[in-house]
Amino acid sequence: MDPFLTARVEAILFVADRPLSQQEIAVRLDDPAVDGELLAEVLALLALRHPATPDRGFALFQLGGRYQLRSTPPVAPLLRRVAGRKPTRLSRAALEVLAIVAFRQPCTRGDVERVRGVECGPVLRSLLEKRLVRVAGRREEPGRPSAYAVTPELLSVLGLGSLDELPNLREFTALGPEDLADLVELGADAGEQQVTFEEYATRQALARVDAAVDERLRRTESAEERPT
Amino acid sequence: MAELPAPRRGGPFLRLPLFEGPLDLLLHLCRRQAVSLAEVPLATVTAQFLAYLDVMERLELEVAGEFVETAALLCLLKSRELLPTPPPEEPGEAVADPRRELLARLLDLKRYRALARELERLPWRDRDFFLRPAVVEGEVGADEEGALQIEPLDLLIALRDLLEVRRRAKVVHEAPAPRKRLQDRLDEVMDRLRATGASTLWDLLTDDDAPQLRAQLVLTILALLELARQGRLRMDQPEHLAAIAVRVVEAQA
Repeated sequence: MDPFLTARVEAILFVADRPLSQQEIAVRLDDPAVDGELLAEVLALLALRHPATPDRGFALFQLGGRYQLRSTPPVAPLLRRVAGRKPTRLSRAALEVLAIVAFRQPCTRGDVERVRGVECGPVLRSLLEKRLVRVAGRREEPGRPSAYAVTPELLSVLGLGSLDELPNLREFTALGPEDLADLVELGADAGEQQVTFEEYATRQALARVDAAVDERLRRTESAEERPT
Repeated sequence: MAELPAPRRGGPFLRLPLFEGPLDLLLHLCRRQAVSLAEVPLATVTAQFLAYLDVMERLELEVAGEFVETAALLCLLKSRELLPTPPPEEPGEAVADPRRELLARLLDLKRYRALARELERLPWRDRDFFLRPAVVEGEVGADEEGALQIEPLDLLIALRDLLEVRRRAKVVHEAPAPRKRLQDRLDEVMDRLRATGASTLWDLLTDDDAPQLRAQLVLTILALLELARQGRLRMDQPEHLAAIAVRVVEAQA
């Protein structure tokens, strides 16, 4: 095996900001002498050279046919402290807007608001500033609203090589209405590890409002049943 | 109504909205009813929806206009169910079913909610895994020198940062500064640029006799934009979040 070839592939992976497929690595290599089979061998060799063992701080990860050198899970807490910069922390609303844009791009603010049933201007602006979303032209309709799409930065932040890798896209679009209705609401009821104070307070308040509403409806019903 | 928690004096007892929007509330109702979304009993849901709005208002929780709009829609749907379906305007035309449309929207929201949760669950950069500090690989929109094209958003962010600095700097006394004309400012900026060769947007915006005055900031921004429009200067950003460089454009000989 040509050692310089191994070095070149390793270098390409070293500076990449998102997982690369074999095809993408080949494009960057730009070497007609290297075919798919040879490249696969090199990658296998590099995988052996960078295993995710306990003594490694970073390793070559392979996710869905794409390769990336990234830090190993055990050192994440350490690096969070060392890196200092706060990780991109998104609110539930921001995540929803992101999900909608990612799967419906290009879409306008109106499209997003129609799905969520609330105004999304500030959330969209915040995502724009974080460069997770970008303006991708305008739609030719009255008002010529801006159309939004996700950015390569988002792929980098999520550690994805392409939007096709977004989780469960196929599953969710293939399900019919009857299936979706039986979906168990994940997350909130499935024993979350950490609940923020706001979420806790909201749930408490919600429980009280639920109880107040039930009581109110019960009284209304019994009032209606009483003979006049 | 002994059951209702009394609002504390001096403000709402919870400032956070319980439901972001009416669809949110509807989903919550459907979940409490524990029925399939396709079998939502309109009468019950409408009664509950209105009850929620009423309780939330009594508790001084925020109830936005969209809720009232949806409440009206529910009442309309409920009343429509009591009447026989009118025949379509033209033969063969499908009757629009607002109920089905509402259901479709609820399903959509539920779907994207679930997807959003899945997104959160993915390993995130800078939280669960880390990469080498970014080396920008030939970004789309780079010019010959490898700098990124400036978008209006970058300028707005720069201005906002500057205004923030100004806001935090406690100004004890603002002496009224002489008003400048745009033309004067244009000349000043060009002079400054010619003297130093190149500068950053930040330096140009803060280089002023009276930087605290908002009007002056705006004037400088306008001057820079006008000069850029005239092609007498150009602005580049070598990489994300880096300082915006401002350069004089060499006059064609």
